[in-house]
Amino acid sequence: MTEAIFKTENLKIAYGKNQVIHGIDWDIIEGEVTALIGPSGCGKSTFLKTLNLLVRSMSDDVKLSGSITFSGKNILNDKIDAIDLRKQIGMVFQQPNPFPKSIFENVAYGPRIHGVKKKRELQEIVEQTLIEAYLWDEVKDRLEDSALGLSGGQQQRLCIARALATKPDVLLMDEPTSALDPISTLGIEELIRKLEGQYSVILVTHQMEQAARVSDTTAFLYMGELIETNKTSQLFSNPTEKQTEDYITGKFG
Amino acid sequence: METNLRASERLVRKSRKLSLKNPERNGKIVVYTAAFLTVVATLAVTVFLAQRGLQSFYMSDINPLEFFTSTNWNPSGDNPTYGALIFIFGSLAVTLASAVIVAPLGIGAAIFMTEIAPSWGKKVLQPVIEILVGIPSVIYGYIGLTVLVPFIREQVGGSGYSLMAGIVVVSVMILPTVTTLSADALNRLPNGLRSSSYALGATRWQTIRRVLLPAAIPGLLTAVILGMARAIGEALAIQMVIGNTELLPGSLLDPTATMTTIITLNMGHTTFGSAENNVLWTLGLILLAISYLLVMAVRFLGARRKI
Ligand SMILES: Nc1ncnc2c1ncn2[C@@H]1O[C@H](COP(=O)(O)OP(=O)(O)O)[C@@H](O)[C@H]1O
Ligand SMILES: [Mg+2]
Repeated sequence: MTEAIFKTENLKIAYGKNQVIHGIDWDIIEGEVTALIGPSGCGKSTFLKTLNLLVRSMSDDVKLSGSITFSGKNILNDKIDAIDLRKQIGMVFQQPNPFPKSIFENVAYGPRIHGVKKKRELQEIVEQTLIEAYLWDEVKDRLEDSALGLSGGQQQRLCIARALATKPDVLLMDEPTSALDPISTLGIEELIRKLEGQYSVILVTHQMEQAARVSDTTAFLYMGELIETNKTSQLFSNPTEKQTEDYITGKFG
Repeated sequence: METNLRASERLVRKSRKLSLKNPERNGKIVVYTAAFLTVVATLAVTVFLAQRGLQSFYMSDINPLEFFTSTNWNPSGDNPTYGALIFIFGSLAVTLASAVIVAPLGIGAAIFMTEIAPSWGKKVLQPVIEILVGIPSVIYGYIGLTVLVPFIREQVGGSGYSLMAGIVVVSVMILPTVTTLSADALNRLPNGLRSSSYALGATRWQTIRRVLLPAAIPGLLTAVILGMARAIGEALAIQMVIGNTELLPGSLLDPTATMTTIITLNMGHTTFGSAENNVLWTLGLILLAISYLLVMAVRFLGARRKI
């Protein structure tokens, strides 16, 4: 039952000479919501961007070593097709960043890129994904309007829909609520809980309460080392490592 | 708490009082004066040019219709004619043709600099192109005169002094401007657009074509329009290669003239207040009107960018 969706072995990540991740061995469980917490600058975003190899597209000097096994393959192997990989791994970022296009075109972007051409099929995907992201009722009458006219919370849900439109297995979320107000934050958290089961969600957050509210498993990353992973309730009530305890009790970070 | 507030208030007051003594107010005076002078200078030039330029029509009795539609230009003859169509056409032809040539080249180079080879682009290309922007136009004209004109004469035909030479020189001259401004427009785009497009599985080319270019369009158009503004106002470089004949060109290889070249060539030897002199002011007024239109287009696009 507890298959690993990602299995990292001695994963090391460096930007040039700056070693950011120092060898992580971690089995991320399939179908769960996994939270990754840790103080800012500890390498959470870098780790997350490595799972879909985005880090390679965004910086020239990144060096990856070790292995990440995803659907039976080591994705750090050069032969892996990053485009195919990203079709299966959606990602949502800290700042809601819809394209300056219509709501429809934002959601249709991924499918179009992966070869869906028929208008009817696209319409179906867009409707289905917007329903899944709990945005359909709010936008169904203005699909042709600019996505930039939506509120911050709606924009972020649109970005989630955009990521779900390629029918991925995994959703990576990098502090998806840190730019949102409390009400929109609750909306996104509720959405994450509903996605659980159908998708493996890996959620980076700097809010421990958020990790406690939405995740099944929580991992604590500190200075590029994975200090502790455990069932969320366990980790917050009864951390085994001293550093985890210090962090969750607010002694540092 | 109460006393705390008081203390901080006192501090604020104190620092305000201190700054009132000098920097704040002085700064304000300088800034306001500069703004005021800028507005006055712009207004003065506009009013002066309008007053001079319109004199052709109400003092020298030149028929506006003739001025804008006739190609008979002979202001110093016994029976003077004042048809300026050749020069209006020349200016517009040079400006539009160079914009059409430079837009794809400049935007393409900007894409290369910002998206294809960003590290090399930022370190090497961008500074080089910024230097090119600053090269005085006389140098472009001089190179055109010594290299381009003979080349056209020998390889393409005609005397070499031609509309084509003018267009090429102006294109080369505005290319760096359009390239840097386009690169700025692309660099201004939030990085989130790139990362989310890549994260959806888009290739670099798909990201450029479907996300970045559409998002940057207002900024790219602004770049081209500012290039056109530089082209329409250019006199010296064009004058050196275009031939300066008062003829409507039948082909790209024929010599012709533009509004700016006619002004610079004739300003010196016409008497202030004469009809011959007034029509030059009228050409200047037309140039100013076109610049205003271009600037308004830029502002309009700038306002659209925020949406
Ligand atoms: N593109 C990059 N190039 C070089 N260094 C980077 C880059 N992105 C992040 N870093 C460095 O990697 C470290 C970890 O950053 P990051 O992964 O963003 O941490 P977090 O998301 O936990 O705040 C930081 O020291 C940061 O300066
Ligand atoms: Mg981060």
